[in-house]
Amino acid sequence: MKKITDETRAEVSEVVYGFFAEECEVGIEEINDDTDIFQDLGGDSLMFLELIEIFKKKYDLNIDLKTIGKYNVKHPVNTIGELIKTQLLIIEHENAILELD
Amino acid sequence: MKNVEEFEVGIVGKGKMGTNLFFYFLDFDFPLKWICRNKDEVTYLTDQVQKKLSRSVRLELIDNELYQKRLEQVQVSNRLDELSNCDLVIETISEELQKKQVLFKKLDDKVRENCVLTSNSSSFLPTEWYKGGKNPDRIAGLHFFFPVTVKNIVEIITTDRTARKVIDTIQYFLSIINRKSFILTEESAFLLNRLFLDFQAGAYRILLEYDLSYAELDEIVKEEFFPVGVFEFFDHVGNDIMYNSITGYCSRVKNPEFYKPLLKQLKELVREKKLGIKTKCGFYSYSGRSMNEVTDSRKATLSPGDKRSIIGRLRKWYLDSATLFVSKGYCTRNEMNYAVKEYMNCEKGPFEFS
Repeated sequence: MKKITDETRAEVSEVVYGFFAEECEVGIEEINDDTDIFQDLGGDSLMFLELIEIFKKKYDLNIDLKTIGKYNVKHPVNTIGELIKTQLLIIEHENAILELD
Repeated sequence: MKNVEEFEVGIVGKGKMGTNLFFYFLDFDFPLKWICRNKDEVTYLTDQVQKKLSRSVRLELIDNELYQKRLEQVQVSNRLDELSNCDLVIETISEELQKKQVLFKKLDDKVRENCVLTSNSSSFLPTEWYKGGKNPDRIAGLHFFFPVTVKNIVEIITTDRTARKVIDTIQYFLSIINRKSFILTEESAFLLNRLFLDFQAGAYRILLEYDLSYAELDEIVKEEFFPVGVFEFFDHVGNDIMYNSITGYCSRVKNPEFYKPLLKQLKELVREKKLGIKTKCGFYSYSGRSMNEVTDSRKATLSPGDKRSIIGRLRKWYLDSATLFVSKGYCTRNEMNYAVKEYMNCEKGPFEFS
C-alpha cells in the first residue's frame, strides 16, 4: 500500500485538470472539482482509460484496468473531484482497491 | 522474423477501432503507418499524436529521446502508397463489404508480396472482403475487441488458403503487443460474438413474452451473468454494427426464425438513427453519462418463479452455445472461459457456473 502525501494529492490534481483542459479544449480555469466530465466537458470513457494508463506509468502501479472497471460499476465517477478521489485510492491500494468494498 | 524495430505495421481507417488500435500501438517500438481519408484528417490526427506524445514528455513518462523516436516511427497519411513497406496491414474502415473489397483490391497493388493483409471486421469473412484478390494465401481476419487496452483477446480468422507463415507473422505481432489469440476458421469465425447470439436473441424474446422493459431485463442479466446488460451492450457497440453482425451470423444458422424479433428491433432502431451511445439514443437515451429508459411504459411484476425461469432459460442458451462450440473443437473449455472473462470483464466463464 502506497502512502498518499500532500504532494501526491497536488500532483494527481494537476495532472487530471491539465489532462481534461487539453483533451476537451477548455481553459483550466473553467474546471473545478464539481465539473461534470461528461455533461460539462463532453468527456468519454476512453479518456478515463487514458488517464489511468498515465497514472499507471507515472506511479508504476500494479493495477489491472479490469479491476478499475469493476470498482467503477459500484462507484461511478462523474465529476473531476470524484475522479481525483478514485485515482488517489487506486494509487494507494492498486489491485486491492476491490477489497475496500 | 524481423526484429520489432523493423516490423512495419499499417492501419487503414480512423474510426473508433482504428484510433484505439493506433494509440495502443504507439507504445511499442515498431514503425507504424496510419492511413485516413484526406489532408484535413492527416493534419488533425498528426496534431493528436504530437499532443499525446508531448504530454507524455511533460509528465515524465517518456524522455526526449523516446519522444523523438516515436515521432519518427509513426506516419499519418492519406496515401495507401505509404503502406508499401508494411509487413502487416490492419483494415478498420466502416462495416461495408463493398468498400472493404475495393480497398483490398487497391492494397493488393500497393503492398509488398509478402505483406499480410488483415481486417478487423466483426461481420465479414476474409473470403468475402478479399473476393477476387490476387494472393489469398496472405489474408486473415484479425478481430480485436474494444477497447484494446482492456480486452486481451484477439480472434485470428483463417481461410483454407491462409499460409502458415501468415499465421506465424500475426502471432509474432500479437506477442509484441502482448495480446492473446484464438485461431479460428471461417466456420468458427467471430466465436465470441456468436457465443452470445442465442443469449441476446433469447433475452429479447423473454422481454416481449413478459412485457419487460430493457432495464428490467438488463438488471437480471447484470445480477446473474455479466457486468453489462444485453441492451446496454448493444448501445455501447452500436446498433448498426450489431445489426450487420447479427444479420451476417444468422445467414449461417439453422434456425434463423429465432433471431428475427431481435433483428427486427435492431433494424427499426437503425432506421430511426438510434444507434446507441454514439447518437445518444438507442435502447436507452443518454445524457452525459446517465442512461435512461427510452420508454417507461412497461413495468412487469415478476414473481420469483418467473425470474428463476428467465434465468434458467438464459443460462441454457448461454451454456448450450458454449458447449456446442467446444464440442465442434473450436476451442477448449479453458480457452472459452478465459476469452469470455476477457471479453465481458466477468468473474466466471460459461463452464465455471456451479
